[in-house]
Amino acid sequence: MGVITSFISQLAIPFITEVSFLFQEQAYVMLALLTLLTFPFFKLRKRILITVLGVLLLIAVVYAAKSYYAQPRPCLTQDVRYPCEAGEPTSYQSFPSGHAAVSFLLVAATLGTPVFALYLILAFLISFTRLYLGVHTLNDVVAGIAIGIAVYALAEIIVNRFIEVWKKWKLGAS
Amino acid sequence: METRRQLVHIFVGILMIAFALLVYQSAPTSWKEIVEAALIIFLLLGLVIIDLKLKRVKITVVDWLLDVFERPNIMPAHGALWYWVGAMLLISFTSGTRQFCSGIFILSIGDGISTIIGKRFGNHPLPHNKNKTWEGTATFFLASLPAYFFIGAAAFPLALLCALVESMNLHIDDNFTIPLACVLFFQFIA
Repeated sequence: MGVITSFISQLAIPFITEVSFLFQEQAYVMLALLTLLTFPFFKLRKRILITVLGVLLLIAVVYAAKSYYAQPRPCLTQDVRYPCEAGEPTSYQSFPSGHAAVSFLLVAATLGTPVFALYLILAFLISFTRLYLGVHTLNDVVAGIAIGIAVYALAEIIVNRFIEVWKKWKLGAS
Repeated sequence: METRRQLVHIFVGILMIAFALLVYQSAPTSWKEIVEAALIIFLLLGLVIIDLKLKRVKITVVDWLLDVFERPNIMPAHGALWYWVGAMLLISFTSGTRQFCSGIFILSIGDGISTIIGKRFGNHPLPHNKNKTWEGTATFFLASLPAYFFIGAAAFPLALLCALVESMNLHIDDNFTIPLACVLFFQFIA
């Protein structure tokens, strides 16, 4: 565990602790609800489609990577303020961080929209709390961020190609 | 303009390698996290700038940089964002400075020099991608070979793989596909 992860995982700030455990339990639900509420701000319907496809692809990619690497969480093996239980089903799913990946996918989805700042701050907070609780290392978070942004861009390419092919087919059919 | 872009591409890569090696010298056990933290800070800054530019906010220095270095009619700093994401992918999925530095070397110097040479002297298009040339692809391979100083003989197959990936029309920015190819090489082949 590096110096930065070690430092953050030893912090004890009551408000951050509350928020961290809230995000631990509810981050995905909160992000899903927030996304539904802010969809009108995404401006383009195509962007909503890209986001949905991106999240589905991301779940597959992150799950596959977590299963393949099967890295133990730092709270299991290192000296952190909030140690975790050995028998948890996700004890060996540290790399990469799914929370960071989803948060930053949504950041990429909201670039140029009025809600970008909200998603960026939330993504930063969620990623920070993963280090704070010792459930991820900084390396896990960085991997998650890279995968989240890359998968969004990949989803955008897929949707654009699909629209291109669909338009050509429609022109051909008419 | 393309030459200017590629020179910046090369310069940023050299800076990244120098930073990683310097940090490794000072803090061999924590160099990775320090470099990762720096990458995150710059990524967050970059995302804010891209967002502001998409909202057409005037930022003098950024506007000047985009005028001088950015291709027209695409998302501002599109290439730079992919470059950064590629670098983050490289550092998180590779182990040790050697693998990271070799990937950045190929991404910045291999790709940078090959683009300059390909655009200026490329006359023979590739059969699988008319937008790329044999001259450019060969230059990519040769310019990537100095990665040997980081990873030894593995630089030869890695340079070949990256040259092949870069030559293909994958509809994904090669600032991402090249680091991805490096990661897959280090994970499954080397």
